Amino acid sequence: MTEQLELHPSGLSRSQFARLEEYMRAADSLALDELLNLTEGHLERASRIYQANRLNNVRLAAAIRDSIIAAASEWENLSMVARHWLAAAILYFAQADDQEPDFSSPIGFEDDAEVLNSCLRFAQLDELCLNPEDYDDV
Amino acid sequence: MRVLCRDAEWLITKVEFSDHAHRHHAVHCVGADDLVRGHQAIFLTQLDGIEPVDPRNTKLVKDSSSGYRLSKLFLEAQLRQMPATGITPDLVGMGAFQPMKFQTQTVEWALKQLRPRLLLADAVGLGKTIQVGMILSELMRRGRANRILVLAKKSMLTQFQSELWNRFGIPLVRLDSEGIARLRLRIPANKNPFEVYHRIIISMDTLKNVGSYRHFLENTRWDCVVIDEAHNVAGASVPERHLSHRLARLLSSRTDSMLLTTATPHNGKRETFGRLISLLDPSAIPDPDLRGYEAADIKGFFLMRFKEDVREDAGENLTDRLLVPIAETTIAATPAEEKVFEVLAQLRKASTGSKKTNDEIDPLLQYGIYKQFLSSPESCRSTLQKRMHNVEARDADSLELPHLKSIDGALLKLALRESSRYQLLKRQLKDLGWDGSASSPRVLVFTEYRETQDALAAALAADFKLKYSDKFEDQPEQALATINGSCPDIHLMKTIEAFGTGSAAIRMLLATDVASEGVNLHHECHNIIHYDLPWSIITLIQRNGRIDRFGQTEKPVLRYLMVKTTQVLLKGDETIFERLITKVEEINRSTRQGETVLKLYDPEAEERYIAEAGLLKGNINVLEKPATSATAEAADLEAMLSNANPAHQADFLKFLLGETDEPTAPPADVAVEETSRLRLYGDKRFFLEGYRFLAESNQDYMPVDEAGKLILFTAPKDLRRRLGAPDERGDVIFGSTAIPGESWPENNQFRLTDDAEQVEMAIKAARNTSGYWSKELLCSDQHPILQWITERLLMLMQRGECPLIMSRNLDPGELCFCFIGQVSSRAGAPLVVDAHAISFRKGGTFQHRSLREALEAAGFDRLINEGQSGNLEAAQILIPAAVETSLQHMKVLREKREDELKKPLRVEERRLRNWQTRRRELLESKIDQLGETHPRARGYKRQLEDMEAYLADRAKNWRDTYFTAVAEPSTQLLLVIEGKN
Repeated sequence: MTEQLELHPSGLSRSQFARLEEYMRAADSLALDELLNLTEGHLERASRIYQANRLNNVRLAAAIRDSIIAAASEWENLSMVARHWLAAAILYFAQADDQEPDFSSPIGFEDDAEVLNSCLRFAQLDELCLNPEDYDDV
Repeated sequence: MRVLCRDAEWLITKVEFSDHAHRHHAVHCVGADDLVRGHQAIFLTQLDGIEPVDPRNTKLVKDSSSGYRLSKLFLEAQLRQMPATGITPDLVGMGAFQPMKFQTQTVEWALKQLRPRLLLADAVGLGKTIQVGMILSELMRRGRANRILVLAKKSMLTQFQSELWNRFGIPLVRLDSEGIARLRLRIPANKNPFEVYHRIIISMDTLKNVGSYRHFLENTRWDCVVIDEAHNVAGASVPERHLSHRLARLLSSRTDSMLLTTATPHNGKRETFGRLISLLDPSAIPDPDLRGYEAADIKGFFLMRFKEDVREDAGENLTDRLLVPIAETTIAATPAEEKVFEVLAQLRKASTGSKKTNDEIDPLLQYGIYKQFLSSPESCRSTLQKRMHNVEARDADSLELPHLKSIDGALLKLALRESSRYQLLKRQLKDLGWDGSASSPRVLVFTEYRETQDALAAALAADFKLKYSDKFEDQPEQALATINGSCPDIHLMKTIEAFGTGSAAIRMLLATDVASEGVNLHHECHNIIHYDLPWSIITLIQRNGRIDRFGQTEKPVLRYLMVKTTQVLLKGDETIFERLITKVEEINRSTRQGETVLKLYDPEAEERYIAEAGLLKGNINVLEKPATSATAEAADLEAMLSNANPAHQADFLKFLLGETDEPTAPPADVAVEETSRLRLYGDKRFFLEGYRFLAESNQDYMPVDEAGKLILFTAPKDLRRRLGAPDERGDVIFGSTAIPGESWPENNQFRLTDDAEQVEMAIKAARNTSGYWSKELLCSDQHPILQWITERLLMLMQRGECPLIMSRNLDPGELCFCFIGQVSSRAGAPLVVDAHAISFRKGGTFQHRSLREALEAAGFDRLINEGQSGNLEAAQILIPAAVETSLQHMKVLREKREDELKKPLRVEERRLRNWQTRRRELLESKIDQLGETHPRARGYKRQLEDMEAYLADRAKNWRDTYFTAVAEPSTQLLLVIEGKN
């Protein structure tokens, strides 16, 4: 598999990429359904926290979830490598304590969006990419 | 959540287990009532009783005072201590000054910033202190300037302190060398001196020289730090070794807001400007060496305006100045002086004719001795003799010695008192009508050298029969006074103050460059004489700026004394000197170049350049273009600053906010804006009625007198103690209310007025008679005396009680509950404050409206107490429902405020993240290039760690402290009004 993974998403910072690689190994043992469940769970948590702290960008979190579901619907058509990276990006989203802490930073989901965008582009699903600033309005 | 503990009200910020068994808690709190506001404390549940404060349990009390004075004053006091939360500055009643548009814009920008941090780089004399006062006032109204630290040059301490006190009623405690020594005697050795007082002004020298303060500074936080003449903290070539810079960096990390002021924000090098910006915000510039940045990185952190930018606004506050024609201030050298010039010409010929390069010949020989002679024979001789002594000791056969000896010989017969320059000075003084008597106009005379200053003082004293002593402490009392760098801060400040005081004896101030930066000398003086000429545009602009500045009412008159020689070799010098003077006037009139025309940014570099590229080479065009040694870097830097400088933009706020025609920030909440400064009484009426009400139950409160617009008021004992009166020396006053000792009035009688113009006249009158301190002060919200009255009035009601009154203007049976609600940040900073009222009417309907509307509907102003007791019981029963409605309303406002904050906070967080990414890349690539073990790479690694620590600190101590709301809003029931038939 290592040979396959010489192809990788681009445009990420060193630390983002290092984290993504780590998640990719962890995601290996998870089925798509499990990943989607994690996604839903994380969004639910974000919505709950939003009630106490409205600085949380739950709109962007929901948009990321939508992109993930759309990508999942294309799963069968994706290459093996693309699936691996996308699975890692989904796991990245489902972790709260990443580069920008999801629930305590007002831009907590923007690194998740960047990582997902990078993997979506790698999977040639550019149309699903997100621009975080589109979700600023109340 | 609000709690009661040790008889004070607190806001809980955090709760932790305090024992292993998890039975007890440590409750972190911040003070929420007037006694403890802003104080942080940790209470242990095993030791302290902590009770929640519940407004539902408020007990109603009938107000039996005539005209409901008690309720009216209690409500007014509540409104006055309610912090403002809007972002629009309110200049009404702020202070005694005429705000100019450009000054108001500065405040607007500061308030629009989430974290007010600004480099105010306006040109010399445009009122930077006033702008600092305006910003501090607005921050204080918002509860964001309780703890203020001002750092200024030692010569500026009193001036800065008195401006803030006279004009804004902001009391700063001056910790000069004497003040700090006194304070240390009065507090325990381990007590942090910076927590004794909340508002302090101190000189950088005092602070940096006392190493033991570092520990105290590291353990205290400020709301606002102001650094005046901030170029002094930009750090020299090795900033790590520059104490002032390190100190400024430490303070920057320990404060919320920061204001830097300077007229010379850079020296042409990218890193000096970069360092000032990174003091304001370490996350502005990604490059660790602070050289690589663009206009976008620094935009919004600085404002830089020149005279011509503000001329239209400033009107009469900036007068055109007059240069006495140079021909009238030029004199021919005496034959004896010509002899010295001859020898000096030979020396120049010998030194410039030498095969050695300029760098190899001592500049002293080439032009230094000459410059000294142009000042005075005494100054020249002193330098010469030191030089001869050194050369003889080093090399008795030196070729230099014959020249030196020959100059020395020629100088022997000369003295300043007989010199042509001195005769010229006397002639100019005669033209001015100056004879040293009390009717003489004030004159400011600058000289380059101490020896000249000494000789000049002695000669003038003898010729004008003036008593003169050179003791520092005698200077403020003499007609002829001198100041220089060796003068201790206290005497320096007193002499400068005397020079600005009409009635002081002082007629002439002989100054060296110690007086050239920042100090105001224009109040009683518009005549400046440059006895000798500094060869530097920067120095001349700074010197002239002492009297030619904002607020000068007379036409400033400038005289440059010049001596002509017939020596052909030195002839060209005259032209260069004349051009130097003309250049300075040209810059003053028309250009925005300010002091940067030669692009050398340093007086000494300018002197060297004018001497070497002008005088020695006979190049009379030396001032026409930037120095050849000036780098492209300086030109690039200036172009970038000009691009990033908002002052040149038509609408600079839009420019800074990156707005196009549509505002990006949501409009402020109109309801909150309106009520944020709701007042039932004017300041003066509030003072009078409040004090008189208090006096009825305090026998030692003397009656107040009114004389025209003035209130004459004798401070009672408790106020004297609180304000730190000089006769209350037994106590150390803790807190923010101690007022400057010098401003304390005779017989403890304060003179207050609500007329700002009258205060301005009193400030002028003080300058005529007693010095810096105005005898009449503005009766304004933030004046410590009004704050004292406010707090005393708040104590009229017991904690947990609230008055009930009756109004015929409300529907019979209507019960109107008046509240102030607040949403605080986690550290207790107010995010939303709102005054509103909930009315319950017969038939079960209820109405919510602003407090303003409710009070108008009740005819609150005109209410009289007819003695009816009202339906206390019914009102009491409805309190929980009213409180619930009030809290619901506050929750809605909290959500609205959070929604408003989302956009600016996200923009700021994105900027931070972008900085982090760019900086990380730069640092990592530098580490890769050097190899991990390289010593410099280890330094860069440390910077990486520092960056992470900074970001974590910023999230915790800034974002969460100031902008993350606590979950539950709070509300306080202030008053209940019952409608009756």
